[in-house]
Amino acid sequence: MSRERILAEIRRSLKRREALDENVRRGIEARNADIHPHVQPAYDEDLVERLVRKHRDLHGSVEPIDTALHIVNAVIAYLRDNDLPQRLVAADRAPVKDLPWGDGVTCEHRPARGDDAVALSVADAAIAETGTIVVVSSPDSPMTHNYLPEHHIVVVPVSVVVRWQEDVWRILRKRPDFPPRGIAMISGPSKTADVEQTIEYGAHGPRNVHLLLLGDGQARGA
Amino acid sequence: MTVAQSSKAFKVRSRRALLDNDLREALGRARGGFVEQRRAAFEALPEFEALRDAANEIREHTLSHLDYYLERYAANVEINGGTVHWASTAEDMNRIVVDICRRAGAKLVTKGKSMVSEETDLHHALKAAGIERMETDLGEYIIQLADEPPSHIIAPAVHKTRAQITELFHANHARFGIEGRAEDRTAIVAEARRVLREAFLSADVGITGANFLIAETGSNIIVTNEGNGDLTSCLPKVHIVTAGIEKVIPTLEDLSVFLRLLGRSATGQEMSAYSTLYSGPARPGDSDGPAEYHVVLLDNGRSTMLGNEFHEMLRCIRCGACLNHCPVYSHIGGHAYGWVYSGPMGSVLTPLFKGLEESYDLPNACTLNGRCQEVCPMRIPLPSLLRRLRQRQVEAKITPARQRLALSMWSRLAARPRVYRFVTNLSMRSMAWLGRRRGALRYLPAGRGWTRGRDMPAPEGATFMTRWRRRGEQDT
Ligand code: SF4
Repeated sequence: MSRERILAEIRRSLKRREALDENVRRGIEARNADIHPHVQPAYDEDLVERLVRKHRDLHGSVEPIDTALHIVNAVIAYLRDNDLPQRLVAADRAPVKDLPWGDGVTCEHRPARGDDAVALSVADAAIAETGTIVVVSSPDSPMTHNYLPEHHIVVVPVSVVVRWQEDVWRILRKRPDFPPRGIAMISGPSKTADVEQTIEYGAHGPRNVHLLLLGDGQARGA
Repeated sequence: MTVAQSSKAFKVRSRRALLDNDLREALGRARGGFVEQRRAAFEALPEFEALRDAANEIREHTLSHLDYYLERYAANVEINGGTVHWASTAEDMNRIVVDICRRAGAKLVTKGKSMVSEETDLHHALKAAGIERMETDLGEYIIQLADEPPSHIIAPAVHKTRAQITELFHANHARFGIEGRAEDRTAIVAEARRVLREAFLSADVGITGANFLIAETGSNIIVTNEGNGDLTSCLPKVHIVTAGIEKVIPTLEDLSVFLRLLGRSATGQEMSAYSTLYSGPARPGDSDGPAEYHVVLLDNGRSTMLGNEFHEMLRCIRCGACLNHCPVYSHIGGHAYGWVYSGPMGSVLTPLFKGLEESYDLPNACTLNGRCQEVCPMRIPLPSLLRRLRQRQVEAKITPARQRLALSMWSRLAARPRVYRFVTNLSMRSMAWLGRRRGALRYLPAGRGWTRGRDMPAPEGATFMTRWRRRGEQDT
C-alpha cells in the first residue's frame, strides 16, 4: 500500500504516469550492464609498497612473511609482544586452517565472543589505493572476527593486492555466492574523535590491525 | 533558603557561561580540524572535480528513474532473503520498526548512527513501546545520556567537553558496576567500550542507517570509524536498516565514486575505518549474522521534493562539509537549528520536512557567502535553495509585515558588502550566545525589529510539503 503510494508520488513528481517505457528501461539496463569504473585516482607507486604505506598511515602495523609456514611463529610473537593470552579465534580456511599451533596456543574456528582478544583472518583482497583490507563473510569466515576482538591479525597474500576499489567488485562478481552477505572494507583500526575531537584508537573494534603480508615466493614487481 | 536559591541560580548562570565558552572552543576546534583536513585531502586528489561530476551525474540519473531503482533494489533485497518495508510517513516508519521489535520480543535495541530515525523521532516510539534503546556511536551515546539532540551530523557530541563527559558517565554508569571517574580520553573511551560491548552482545535488535543502498546487489553500506555500525549489524538476531528513498544508487562502481568523496568531505579521510556492505540475513552454514534482515524505506516528503524546485537537495550524502564551512553554524552550533539536520543542509531540509512556519528563521540565518555550495561534493546550490525558501515564505504570506520590511532591509544591507560584514561580524558574536538556547533561532542578528515583531506566527496547520502538494495538484 505504502509502496504503491510512494511509487505513484515519485512518478507524479517525475511527470510520468506509468513505470518506465521499454526503451528507457532498456537504456538503463544497458548502462548498468556496461560495467566500468568512473573516475579513479591515478598513481604509479608499487602496489604492495603503497598498501603498506597507506595501512601504516592509518595506524595499522605490517609484517612481511615468506611462506604460510611462518604464520604460526608470527602470531605467537605478536601475542607475546603485546602481552596477550596465547589464544585466538581464526577463519576456517586456507592458509590459516590447519596450522601446527603446538601445545601452548589455543586456536578455535568459531565466531568471536565478547572476550576474545585476537582474531586471525584472511584477506580476500587488499586495495593499494587506500590501504584497505577486504574480508568477505562466509561460513568459514565469520563477520564478528573483524569487529569484536581488540587485535585483528589479517593474512594478506600479495596476490590479492589490487590497484583500485573497483577491482574488488570485479573479483567478487565472479564468486558463486555474489553478493556475499558481508563485504568488510577495513581501513586501519577502530577509532573515535568524539572526545575533544582527538583521535583515540580501539573505540569498539580492534585497537590494532596487524597485516601478515604473505609473499608469493617470487621476486616482487609492480 | 535565599542563599541556597541564589547560589543555585548562580551555578546555573555560571555553568551557562562556561558552556558557552566550551561550545565556542569545541566548535572552533572541530571546524578548524575538519576544514583543514578536507582541504589537504582534496589537494592530494587531482580527480576531485571529475569525481564530483560523476557523482552528480549518477545521482541525477538515479533520481530521475527512482521508481525503477527502488523496485530493483527491493527485488534484490528479497532475493538475498531480506524484507523491504515502505514507509510514507515518519509515523509509518516508527510503527513498522516497533512492530518488528515487538515480534522479536525485543527488550533492548542497539542503534548505529541513523539520521532518519532522528528525523522520525523513532526514539520516542520505542520508548512508548517500552523498548530500551542504546545509541552506540560514542558521540550519540554521550548525547543520549545528556538527553540532547545531536549538534553535528558527523560529530554529534562536538559541544561536550571532556569534563562533562566524565560526569555524565559517572552519573550513569553506576548501574554497570563502574565506580570511579574516567578522567582522561583513553579512560573515557575504554569505559564506553566496556558498557556498550555489553549492549551489543545482549541486544535483541540492531538498527542502523545506510549511507547508500545498492540496487545491483540489494545491499546497504554503512560507513563508520568506530565499528559500532558493524557490531549493531552483526550481533543481534534481527537487523533493521532505515534509509531515505533517495539513498539508492545503481551499481558498486557507482558506489566507489561516492566513497571517494564521502570520507574526504566529512573528515578529510580517504576511507573511514569501516565501510561494510550487508546483503541480507545469515546464509545457510554461516556461524554468525542476524536471522532477520529488514529494510525500511522512508519517503516522508522526499517523493514530493523530487518534483519541485528543491529536488537538488535529494543529492545530499550527509557528509557535513557545508556545516563545517558555515560561519553561522560554527558560531552557534547545531542545537540552535532546533532539529536533527543543522547547518546549511538543515536550513533547507528542516523547513521542507517540518513546515515553513515552524522553522521560519532558518532560511534567513544565512549570510549567503556561498562557502557551503563551494565545498558541497554534490554541488547542491544551498544558497539558492535558501533564497527560494525565503521567497516561498513571502509568497505564503507567513511573514508579518514588519518582518518583510526587515527582510528587505537585510537584503539591501547585504548588497553593500563592507557595511554588511561589519554588522554581521558584530552579530555573529552575539549569536554564539543565542545559539545556546535550544530550539530554533528566535533572534536574528542585525534584524531586531524584525525578530521582535515576529515572535510566533500562528501555525496554519498544514506543512510546507503538504501545501506544495496541493499547489502541484492545482497546477496540473
Ligand atoms: S548539502 Fe552537500 S555539503 Fe552539506 S551535507 Fe549534504 S552533501 Fe554534504
